[in-house]
Amino acid sequence: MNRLISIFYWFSLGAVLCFITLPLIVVVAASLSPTSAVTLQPWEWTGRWYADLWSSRWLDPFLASVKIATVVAAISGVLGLFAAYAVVYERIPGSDALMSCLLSPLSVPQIVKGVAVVLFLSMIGLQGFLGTPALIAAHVVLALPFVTRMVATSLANFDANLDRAAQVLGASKLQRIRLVVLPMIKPGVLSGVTFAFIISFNNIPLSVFLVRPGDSTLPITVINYLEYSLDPVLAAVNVASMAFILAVIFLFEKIGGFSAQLHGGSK
Amino acid sequence: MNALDIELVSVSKSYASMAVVRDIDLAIPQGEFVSILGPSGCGKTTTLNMIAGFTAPSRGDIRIKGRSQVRVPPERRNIGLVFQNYALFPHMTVTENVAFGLKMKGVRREEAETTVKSALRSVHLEGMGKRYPRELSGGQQQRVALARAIAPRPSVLLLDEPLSNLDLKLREAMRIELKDIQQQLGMTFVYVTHDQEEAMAMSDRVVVMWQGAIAQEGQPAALYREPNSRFVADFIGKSNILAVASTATQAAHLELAVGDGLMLKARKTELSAAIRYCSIRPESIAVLPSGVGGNGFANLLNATVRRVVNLGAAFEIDADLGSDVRLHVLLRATRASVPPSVGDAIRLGIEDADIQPLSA
Amino acid sequence: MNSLALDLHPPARRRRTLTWFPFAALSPSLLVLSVFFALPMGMMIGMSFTQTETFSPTLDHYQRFFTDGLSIAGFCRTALMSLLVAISVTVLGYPVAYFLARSTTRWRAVVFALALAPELAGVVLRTYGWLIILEDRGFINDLLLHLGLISSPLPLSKNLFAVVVGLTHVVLPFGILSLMTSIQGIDPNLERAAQMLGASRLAVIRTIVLPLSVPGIVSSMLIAFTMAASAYATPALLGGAGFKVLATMIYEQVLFYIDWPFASVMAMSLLLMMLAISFVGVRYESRRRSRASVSSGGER
Ligand SMILES: Nc1ncnc2c1ncn2[C@@H]1O[C@H](COP(=O)(O)OP(=O)(O)OP(=O)(O)O)[C@@H](O)[C@H]1O
Ligand SMILES: [Mg+2]
Repeated sequence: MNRLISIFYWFSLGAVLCFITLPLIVVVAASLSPTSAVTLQPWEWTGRWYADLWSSRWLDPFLASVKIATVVAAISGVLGLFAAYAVVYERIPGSDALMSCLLSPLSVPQIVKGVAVVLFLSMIGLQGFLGTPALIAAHVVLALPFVTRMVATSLANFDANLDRAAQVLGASKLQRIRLVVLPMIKPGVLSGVTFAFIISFNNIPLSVFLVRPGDSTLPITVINYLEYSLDPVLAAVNVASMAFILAVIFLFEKIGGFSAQLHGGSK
Repeated sequence: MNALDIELVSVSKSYASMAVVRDIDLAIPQGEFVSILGPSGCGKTTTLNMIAGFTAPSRGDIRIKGRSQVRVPPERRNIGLVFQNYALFPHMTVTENVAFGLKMKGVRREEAETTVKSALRSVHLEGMGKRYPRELSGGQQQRVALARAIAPRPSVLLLDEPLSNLDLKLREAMRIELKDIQQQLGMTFVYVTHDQEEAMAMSDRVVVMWQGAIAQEGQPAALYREPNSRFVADFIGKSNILAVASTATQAAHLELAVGDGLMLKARKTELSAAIRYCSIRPESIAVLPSGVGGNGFANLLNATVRRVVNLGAAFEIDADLGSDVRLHVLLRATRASVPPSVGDAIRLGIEDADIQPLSA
Repeated sequence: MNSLALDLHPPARRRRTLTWFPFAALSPSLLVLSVFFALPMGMMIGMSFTQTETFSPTLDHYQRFFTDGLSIAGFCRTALMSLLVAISVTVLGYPVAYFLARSTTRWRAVVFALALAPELAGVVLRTYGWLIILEDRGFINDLLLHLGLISSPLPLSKNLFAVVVGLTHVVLPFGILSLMTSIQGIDPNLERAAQMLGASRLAVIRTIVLPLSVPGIVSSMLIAFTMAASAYATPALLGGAGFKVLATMIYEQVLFYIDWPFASVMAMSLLLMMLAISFVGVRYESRRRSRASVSSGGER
């Protein structure tokens, strides 16, 4: 009986892991396959779809997405850091209520936020704002609460005795922030910024309302094609953009992101 | 008479009308090792935080070297602080940690380097400078915290239960070391602990706190010998505490009626308040075989042995004196001493000076 | 000393010179959120109650939502789809979460990476993968036809099934994480103790692990439900043109019918569904907390 349970457990674990990885493998396979369908025909591969990526048709939306995600990550990183500092470190009056305000966008579905922004811009006659500026604004609204929460968490986990220790050793507030607080919360800030970059780069539900012909992001361009064809070049686009995301994460990790957060904590 | 380093003048602290520290008056001369001792929640950390400047007193004044500190922020008080959890900066090496305070003071680099070296030497951590705190054992981290606090030469060092995260052996070794370092530097130490042994072992003076107020202060030996209250007698060391029903003043003695009419002879005291308890230390009671000698004792009492516990260095005897009185007696285990057995009739001898009358 | 009796000192810690700075630091965030979140939301809510031509307050749009049949059907379809996703995410996620919570081997890191990697790939890539797999001429049908098990393709795509599969895949990492956190909180010695008392593996799971991980199961279901109900791309692509949930209907109202008040009403219905679900979660959590504090309070 125990044996049976054990077999069932390992089988289900394996099956779920297959379920998780299958679509990824299929897309990679499709991006290398000469025909558009992934079939069980004897298999040959081609790099031709990747070569096709080097055209303005894909490059332009990619660069637009990178630009938007970079600006969004920078803005929400700075704003989130300042906001979390004020609320958690300084504990300004009403800090709990302020924190709930800062995090309130999290409880509204993205598609609703998207509708609200597009209606708002149309109502006040700022349709010209659609495209990159509106995308940046909406993505910041989306990313800022996440960044604020991550920085706030690392500030809350920050051992207040470290700050006191620096203080009795004669450090002024600015010195303490620069020499003790910022180095300690750097991993939290960096993971917040990385996260902001990724959710902006991959975003669909907000972007779908805010793009303009000729000023679109990569995921929106892809789903617009996807509605009428399974062109393998789309697989190549997807694989390439995933590789790009991995590279971004690797870069931030090198600067001292997530794993430092795991090992270098203050305890 | 030494100059006073720290003075607390009727300092109180309340949180939302709950008094946490009540009217504390304390004057600590330069170079003294003072322990603030008390059970958990009695306000020790709060008092320390008020001296350090993290908490403002609700009332009263705190002076360091005669100057009121109430409006001075912690970074300008020139005091050192050692935390229970050490609070070492995890992103700095040992050297950087120890140099931090010197850097904040704007000490020149070469001078800082020699100071850091000597601070590390005084805590026996030479050669560990390049390590990070996480690469050190608990005891070593404790030493780094100490070195960091003393490197800038503060006038006063505050320590909040600095040894409580260490194991017993290390704790005992560190007691001696701390005391040595304190004497070498001639620095004033204010040491907070709830471990009475620790306080007794190191301090020039012990301040016993209870429920936010000072219960008693004095030299360790005096506190042990002459506690002024049931709480202090019980908290410092072990003691037999007996309720006193009535007192009668004789020519040479004070007679205390305990239990169902047992009379104990104690020295006369100048206690003004009525005597309500008396305290007898277990090791001050002599165990005599029944019927032989013992004429030197002011009190000679017959008792029956109810229980004997072997503590290794001593035997703890639970003796029943009848009249509803029981005493714990500590009998030192020497080659010669034979502990009585349960049920044995023994006699107990107690000097009059060893019975401490208490009014509270 | 009497003069000191009423002297309440200001805290020494806060320095005058810096007190304005925290407010200045907070204001840009509040400004951005007011202009691009609170104001638009308020306007959208207002619009859902406003007559388009006369600008007078009305409940007409809500009435239409409840009576036109299609909208309510879409609402119910959204709820059904999200419920199915919540269940399948929790069921599929459980074994992985258990493994991640308990394993100490180096395989743990591998499984962890495998479980979370899809999250980095973005929704489009994964949806695209499922399109290829589930299509009439796709991977599975091709395989089954090849093996002669079926004679015509199974209808695997462009329906509820495909959407649930795709969304389960999208949400699974989050379900796994919340289940894992909860299982990690169960002392492994409890399982050992039960085993020592003679419980079989199955009995240990049924009587110890499952009951103690109920909070994790609840939170995984809630997360999965909310994420599924507000997903746009996966239902749009895997469900096909005929599959309408609130998210896709909102999109149509805004961009094809250009009926903003009605789009607002639909957005409101989605928002309220979300809030109701999170309210259930908050209630559950606070009741659990209070029960936990009562039972541990007794030990003190
Ligand atoms: N910020 C605060 N607000 C309200 N009450 C407080 C605050 N800080 C401390 N107290 C209360 O003051 C009392 C004394 O606290 P304190 O930390 O000084 O105790 P302690 O003697 O250091 O105890 P321990 O040995 O456990 O560290 C406690 O009852 C505590 O609950
Ligand atoms: Mg304390």
